[in-house]
Amino acid sequence: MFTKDRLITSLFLLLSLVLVGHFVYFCIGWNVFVSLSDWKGLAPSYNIVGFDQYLRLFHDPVFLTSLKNNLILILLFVPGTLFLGLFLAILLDLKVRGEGVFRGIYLLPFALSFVVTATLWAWMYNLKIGVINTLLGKTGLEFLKSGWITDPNIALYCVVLALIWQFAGYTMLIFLAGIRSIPESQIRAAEVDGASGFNLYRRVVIPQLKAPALSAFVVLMVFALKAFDFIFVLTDGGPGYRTYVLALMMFRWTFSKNEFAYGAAIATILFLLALVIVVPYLYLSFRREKE
Amino acid sequence: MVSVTIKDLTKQYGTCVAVKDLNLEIKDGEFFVFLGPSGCGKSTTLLCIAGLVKPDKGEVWLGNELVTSPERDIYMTPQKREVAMVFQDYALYPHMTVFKNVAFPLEVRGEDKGEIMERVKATAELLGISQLLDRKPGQLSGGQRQRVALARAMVRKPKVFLLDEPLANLDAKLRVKTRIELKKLQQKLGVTTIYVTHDQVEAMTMADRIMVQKDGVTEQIGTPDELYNHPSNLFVAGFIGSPEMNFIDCTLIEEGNRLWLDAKEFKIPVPAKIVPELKSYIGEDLTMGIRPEDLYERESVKGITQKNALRMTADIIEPVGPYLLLHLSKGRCPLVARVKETTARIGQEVDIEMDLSKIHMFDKKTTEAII
Amino acid sequence: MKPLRIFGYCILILFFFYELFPFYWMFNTAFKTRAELRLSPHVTFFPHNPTIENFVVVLRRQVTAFVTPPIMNSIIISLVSTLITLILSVPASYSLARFKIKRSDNISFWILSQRMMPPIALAIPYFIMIGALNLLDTQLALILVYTAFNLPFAVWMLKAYWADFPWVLEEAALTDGCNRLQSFFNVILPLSWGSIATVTFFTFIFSWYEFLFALILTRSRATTITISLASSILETGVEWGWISALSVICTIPTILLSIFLYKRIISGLTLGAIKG
Repeated sequence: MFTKDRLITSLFLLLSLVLVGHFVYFCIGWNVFVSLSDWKGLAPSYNIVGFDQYLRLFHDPVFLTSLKNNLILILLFVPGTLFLGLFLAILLDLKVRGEGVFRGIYLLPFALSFVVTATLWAWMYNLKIGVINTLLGKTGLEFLKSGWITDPNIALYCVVLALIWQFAGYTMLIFLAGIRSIPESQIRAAEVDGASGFNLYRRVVIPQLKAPALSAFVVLMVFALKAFDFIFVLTDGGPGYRTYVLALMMFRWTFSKNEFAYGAAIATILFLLALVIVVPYLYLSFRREKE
Repeated sequence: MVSVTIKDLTKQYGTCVAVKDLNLEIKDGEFFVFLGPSGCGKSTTLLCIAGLVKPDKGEVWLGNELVTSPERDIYMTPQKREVAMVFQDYALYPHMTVFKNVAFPLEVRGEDKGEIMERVKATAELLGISQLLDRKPGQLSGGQRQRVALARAMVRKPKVFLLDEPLANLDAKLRVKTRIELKKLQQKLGVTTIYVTHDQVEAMTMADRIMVQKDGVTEQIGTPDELYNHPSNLFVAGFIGSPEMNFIDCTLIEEGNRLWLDAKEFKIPVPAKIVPELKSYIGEDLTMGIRPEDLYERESVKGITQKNALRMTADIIEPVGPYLLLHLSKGRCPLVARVKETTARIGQEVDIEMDLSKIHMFDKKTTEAII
Repeated sequence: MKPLRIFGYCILILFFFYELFPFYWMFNTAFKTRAELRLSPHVTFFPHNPTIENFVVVLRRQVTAFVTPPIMNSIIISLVSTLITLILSVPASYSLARFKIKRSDNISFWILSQRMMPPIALAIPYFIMIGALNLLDTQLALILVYTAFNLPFAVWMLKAYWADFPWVLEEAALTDGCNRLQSFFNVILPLSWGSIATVTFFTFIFSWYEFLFALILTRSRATTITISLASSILETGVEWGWISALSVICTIPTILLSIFLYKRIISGLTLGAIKG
């Protein structure tokens, strides 16, 4: 009886594993395989040419720009979101009235689709009729008016600003949950021990937020690497290649220019970058769980 | 070292009253225990003294310094009060080593590094945790954590120690051992100590004085001896002592020039010594209390002058190591007697003597003690 | 109040508006008439003549401009793929949580790592595969892909919830004479509906919002709502009223579900992130 139940449910597990194995791991391998070929154009070609595509990548200015943009995104968006989230979480922790309302609103953007939020920002950043420029005009700050996402100098920063907007609530939530998981007696002990305000957070609370910080960090890093929908809708990489990122380049080269092997090489690079971030983290957290 | 004085302290959480009109004076160097069932405002009082909770009204004095008074808008933060606290879950900082934990109160006060080193080492020595200084709290046993928490409280030489059920998370054996050590330590340091517990044995063995609290109201303040021998009401009488005091509902009647306690199943003559106190209660409902150790089996009685025999049925005989507990009944009246040995058999009748000089009388309506 | 506290409130309120404003602007725009939107540069903070005209136009366009309305596609694809995900993941995670399976930690590791992979790394193989199966531009293609993508996450999440489940209850039910299936439906399921609802929410929302695979694998017949929203910017250019209305429609299911499951979603989002 027991073993029969076990067999049946295990079959479902096996089926899930097979599905995942095929749709994820096998397909990733397939992608790597394509990247080693010379497939160009609509007809599949599996003529293996080795690392030609990769060598080509490192001489391609668009690839280098996209890589650079991904890095800028990581350098600005990840710490920006982390610090803003931590800051908001600490403020909310100070026994604020209406905490629930603040929390709900901060989290709201995270509940929206990237396509919707990108649409909203595109509408607000709009040069002629966008609300930001109109408000600047009305308040006498005419000189600050800008094309925002169409201005080559600041387009990428506008994207970062909008992304921080969308993710700040999420990191706030993670940090707040981390703060709240510290037993109240510890905070009280610290107060009796003589730590107050800034000291209390610096020495007792924040050092204990390593786990939530790390997990939020990984989520944000991975997002910054794989970002696609948001940028595709908001700027489509423009102006020029100013906001091009790897995922967007991969899509354009593969599905507009039919450079399948080349696109696969970009995808492989992205995959490897994500691997470098994710695997140590998952390995660490699973090993810790076992202990 | 200072005294702690509390005047009219009241704290409410929503509609729940945690402390009501508490007045208390704890002497310099005293080991004072707040005793009561869980969730009755003992900890709230402690937190008010520490400054971690602001009371609704009332005053807290540390020595000659008024540290809390909502009426006068005085509130000193916990950081500035020279009190140290040990929490039930020890509240050790999990990310710091034992050394860092103990050093923490000194470090946040910006003490000199050498001084910190010296004092942490001395305190660790005193509590026998020197070999643990490099470990983190997660690697320690319950008893070791408890010591670290004590060390952290002691290291800065506070004027008042606040201990919130510090032994509750230890196993029974360790608890007894730590109890004695804690008492010794307090005597050695002479620090005014306030100790919260729901365990009456802990309170009785350690305290100089005890305050019994229930639902935020003080029931009695006194030495362990006073609480045990002269409980001021039914609650204290029932709460202190194990096994619990026996209570018998009865009516005071006058018959043939004598006063009797009529408990339906049996009648007990009122000892002459307490007649004057009881006189005004004739015809009223009273509760008589007698501790299990003041009941004897007839055969073993020697040298008790005022006595009264009751014939009762032995229901259960419970051996508790050095003595036996006889669970007896007559009709619907149950009694527990604590005896050294017994000839009684389960289900059989046995004659029980009551040491009438040890009885307690309570007014049934007000539950206050009459004698 | 201390000045520091007031300063804290000011910052909180500032960010309150920063986080709320775009959302509010979406609603504000969606209910304005075309004429009012053309008043620029005089923006209005509330629609003067609130109208649902934009919604009517957008919904009509859904029917006329596409072979199948994208909203319908999205509803069907999301519901079916969520259903299949649940049917597979509930027994699978049960078996993972309940029976001592060798290397179950490793299994969860492989399962979870998938969630972190850039989906773009799978774009080409999926395109080839779906093409080879002759499923390009069909609802089935997206159902298949979304299920495969949601399944690992659902199994991991349910397993995490069930790790804390009081299994003595099941043992009690088995002792009381239930078989495993009966005990599952009578004891475990009623006590786990909240967890299952949360998993359902996350898988549904993933499918509802998914963009990349829908972009690659559909053309016109199986287009989803996110694709129609993105393309309406390109096609209509300046019809921000329509675009906002479609955004509102796209957002409403999430908001409604979020309100019902608020606390559970919060705990779902922080799942596994807090413990050190």
